[in-house]
Amino acid sequence: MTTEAANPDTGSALALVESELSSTIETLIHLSVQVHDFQGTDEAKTGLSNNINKLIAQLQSLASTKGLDYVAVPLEIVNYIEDGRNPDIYTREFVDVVRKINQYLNGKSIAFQQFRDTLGAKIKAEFPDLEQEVNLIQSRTSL
Amino acid sequence: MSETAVPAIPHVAANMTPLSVVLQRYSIHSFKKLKEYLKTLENSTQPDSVKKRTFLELLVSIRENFVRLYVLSKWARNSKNVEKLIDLFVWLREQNQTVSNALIQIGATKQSLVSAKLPNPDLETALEVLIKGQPQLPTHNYEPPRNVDPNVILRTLKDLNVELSTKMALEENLPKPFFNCEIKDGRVKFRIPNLFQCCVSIANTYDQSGFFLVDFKLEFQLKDNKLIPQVTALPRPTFMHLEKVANLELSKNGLAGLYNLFHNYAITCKLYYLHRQLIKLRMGLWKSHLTHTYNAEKCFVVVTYWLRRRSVRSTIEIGKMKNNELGFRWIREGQLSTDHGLKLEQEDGSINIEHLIRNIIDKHVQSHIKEVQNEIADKIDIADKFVSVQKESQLILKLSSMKIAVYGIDSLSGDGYFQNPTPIMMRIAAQINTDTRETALRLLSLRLEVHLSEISSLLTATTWLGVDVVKLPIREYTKLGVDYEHLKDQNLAEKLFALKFYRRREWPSGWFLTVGVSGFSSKVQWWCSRVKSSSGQWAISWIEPITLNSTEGEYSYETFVNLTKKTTSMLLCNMVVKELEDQGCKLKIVDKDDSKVKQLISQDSATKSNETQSEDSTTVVIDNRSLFNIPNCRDSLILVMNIKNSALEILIFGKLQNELKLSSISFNDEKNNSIELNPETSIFKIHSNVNLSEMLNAGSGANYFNSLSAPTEFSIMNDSLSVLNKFSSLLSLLHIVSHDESLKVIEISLSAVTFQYGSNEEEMITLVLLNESQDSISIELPKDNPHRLCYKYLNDMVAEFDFGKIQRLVKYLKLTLPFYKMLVKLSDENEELYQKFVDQNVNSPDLNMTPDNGYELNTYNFEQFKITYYKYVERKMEKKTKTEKVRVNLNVQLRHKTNELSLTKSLFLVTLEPLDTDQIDESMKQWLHNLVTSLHPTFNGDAPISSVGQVVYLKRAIACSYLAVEDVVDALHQKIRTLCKAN
Repeated sequence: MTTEAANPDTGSALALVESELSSTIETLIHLSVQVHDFQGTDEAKTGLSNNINKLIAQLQSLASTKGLDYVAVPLEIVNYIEDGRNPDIYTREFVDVVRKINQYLNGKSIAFQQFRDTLGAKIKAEFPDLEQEVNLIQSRTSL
Repeated sequence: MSETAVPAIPHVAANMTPLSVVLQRYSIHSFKKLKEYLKTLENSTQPDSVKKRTFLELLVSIRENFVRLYVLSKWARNSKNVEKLIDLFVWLREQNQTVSNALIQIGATKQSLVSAKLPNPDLETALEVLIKGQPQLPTHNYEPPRNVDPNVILRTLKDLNVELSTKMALEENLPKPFFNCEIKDGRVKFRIPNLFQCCVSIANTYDQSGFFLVDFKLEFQLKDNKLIPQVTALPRPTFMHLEKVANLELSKNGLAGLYNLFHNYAITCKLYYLHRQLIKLRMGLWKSHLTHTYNAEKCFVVVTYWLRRRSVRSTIEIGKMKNNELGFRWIREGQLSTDHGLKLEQEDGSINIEHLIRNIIDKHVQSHIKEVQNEIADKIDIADKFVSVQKESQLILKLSSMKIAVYGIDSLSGDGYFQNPTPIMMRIAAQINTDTRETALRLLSLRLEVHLSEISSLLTATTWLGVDVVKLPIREYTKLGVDYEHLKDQNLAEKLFALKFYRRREWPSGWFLTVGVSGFSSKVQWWCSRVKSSSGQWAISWIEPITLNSTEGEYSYETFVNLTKKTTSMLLCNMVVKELEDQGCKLKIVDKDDSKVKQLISQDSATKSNETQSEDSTTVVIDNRSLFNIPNCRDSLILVMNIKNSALEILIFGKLQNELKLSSISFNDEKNNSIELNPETSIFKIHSNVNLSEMLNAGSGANYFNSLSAPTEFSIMNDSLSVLNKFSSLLSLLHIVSHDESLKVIEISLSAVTFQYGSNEEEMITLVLLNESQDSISIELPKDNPHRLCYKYLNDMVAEFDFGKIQRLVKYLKLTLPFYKMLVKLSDENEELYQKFVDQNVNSPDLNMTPDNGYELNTYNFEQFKITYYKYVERKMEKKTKTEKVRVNLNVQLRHKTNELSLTKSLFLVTLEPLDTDQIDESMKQWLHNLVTSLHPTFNGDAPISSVGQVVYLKRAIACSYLAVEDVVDALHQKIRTLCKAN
């Protein structure tokens, strides 16, 4: 859904982190190429060391990132990503589950109200003395 | 409900990690991996390709993870919404749970409402509905109860009362205690005072089944460890149990059975309460003095008190008596006691077990004290004088004039005790408590011991020494004559009589003051005794009772000080008498007030007589003949002894026959023994002092306690007797001397007599009594006494003392005095001649070979002497002149007609010899012949010798008496000497 598109909120901490991460990944790719093509020349060495230093600098920057404490990551999301699955799927499924349980409870609630009304009517019919009590309970429990 | 009222959904933070943390952790992780790899790369020897490969793999894995992080950061754009969803989900799940719970609750409510269901239609309910118009359903306290109408209650009770009255009236077997009943409130109330009360009623008017129990209460209660009468309800469970039993009993045996049941129940309860009281008692003061056993089944309690007392156990048995009531029996020391008059219940109906026990113990103490008193009275005659009972529970025992002992019995322990006890009392009390049967005897022995200790302390204070070693065997007691007057039971004599021995420090061993103390009488008996031990057995060798002039049991220190004097003098007298008797004296002890004795003593001197009057003097009359048989003395000698402190003064008085004319004699010997003779009254007095302390101490040596060694013998009378003996000897001497008028007494002392037997002063002799035993005598002669020549002979003559010898000596002395005087004279003359001769020879140039007119004196056998005269006659031999010696002896010899010396019958014979001249030559013969011829008239009596004595001329000899011997010899001597001088 949102993978390809850049973060619209470019000034936010999250957008900064995203760009930092993508540059780090880039640095790592460069580094891999350099290592792969490493011939032992001074130039290669310098390039390699420059790249390594760059990587370290980036890592340091990431480690000291601030302003992201508000982003809470559920453990299940981490597991999803670890397994190579799309975390958005997890989000969609979760929304689905919440919708279902909400509907279920709503049904229950309605059923209880109906039972209450029925029982109250019966008690009132059987024990007219308790009518007040029944009415009080009904008024207290009606939404 | 308004929107604002909806509460926020609770936020869930579990299992959430902030993204920054994820990034930070992985960056650090990556860096570490990288660093680690680069570090290992330095040391690695792998080929570059491998290194590259590993490095690449590392880089790839890091990159992959960074890609994942990138994905996560993309997802994080929606994280807020997801978070909200999560919260919502959790909340919805909780709601779901609540709904489920509500359903379960409804199910449970439904279950609980089952009982609210109407019963199933049945016959009973149907009838009920039919009768009452509605069923009688439980109201569940929703309906208030309706009270019974009081009128109905009253009516019912009234009916019940009537019914019960009728029923009671018809009751056949109503037990007697139930006769007293009260019908009230629909019940019959029976009340048995001090036991219980119960109520019965009937169940139904139409029912004939009988009574049932309504109420039961005990009429007593345990309060403050005391059973007091108070109505007490039983605890509910107990009552219910009892109710069941009681109803069963009522249905079986009616009211009689009920009564028996309750009676037993109440009594058992009481007994149990008593048991509890006893348990409490036993935990307190009475601990270990009291024990009890409680038998619930047999329904009795046995209380044993005085547990520690060593006697037959005394018990109190509490239980149901024959009359079915609670009572007790008192078994006093094994015997049932019925006359105590005590009741278990007090007047107000309460029972205090401690009170009861104390009462019983008081009774016990009283009876015991009474018994002891009676027992003492049984043993001793005069018991009522020193035993009395105080407050019925204490025995007052008069121990001595000053002391009393109060004996009582401790009610708690039953132990006998004395009030304000002394150590002796403590000991006796301990003895009594070990065996209570002998209490009376012990109390008497206490008296004995107190007496003993009192006497002992008095005696000790007056420096008497107690001697515990001496133990007289019983058989010796008979010698004492102990006074058992007041003792009824003679078997106790041994136990209640004690002998103690005391002595003075200065007394010799074997001397004792014997004190007899008894527990049955306050009289103390005193003896002065000599007790000896042989092979461990003590035996009285002499004993003499002493009477002390004091009230019974009251002794002052003075009494004992006097006792010292008295006993010492008694013992001394005893010793003196024994000593004298050993010497064979015949004695009789006389009263010092005897008039004749007094007279005799007072004649001696007025001052001395006072001494004899003193308390401590003893007078003994000695038969003179049995002692020394003093010559010229009256038959009796009087011995008076006085004791002052430690000095014994011995006086011996005697009277001489008047025949002896003596001057007054008075002298002392070196030991201060003196003798005085008054010539006017002829009474002599020997006075000697004995230092008793020295003497007795010498006598009682360190071996005092060694009973096996015989006590050192010593003599008190020795000095006096020796003086007396000397005096006796002296008198004998004097007797001899004074009978001879030719003798003149010059000096007398106790040990020597000097008298003159010749005409001259020096012709005297002193007879010295050599030693104390008087068995030898020696003589002393003045220097010029002629008898010095035969001094040794004379000494030998009297060496062994004998008056006959003295007589003989005196005779000899008188007889031989002229003889010795002559001898001395001749000897002196001869000496003179000899001296002259020596002088001549010294000065003259012509040595004269022989002395002229010299003679020789020879004595023989002290009764004979010879004077040998020499005459030198020159005889002309052929060429030279020879000097011949002619010898003439004048022999003087004492001859006796009888064997004994006699002044009249012993004569001196004077002879001349040898008159035989056969062996010598003519000239000598001639000379001798001339001599004889010239002497012849003398021997013949033709020329008598003038002499005072008798001279008999026997022609060839002359016999003459001792008076003439000197003259005769002198005459002859002169003649012969003259003849010898002449040529």
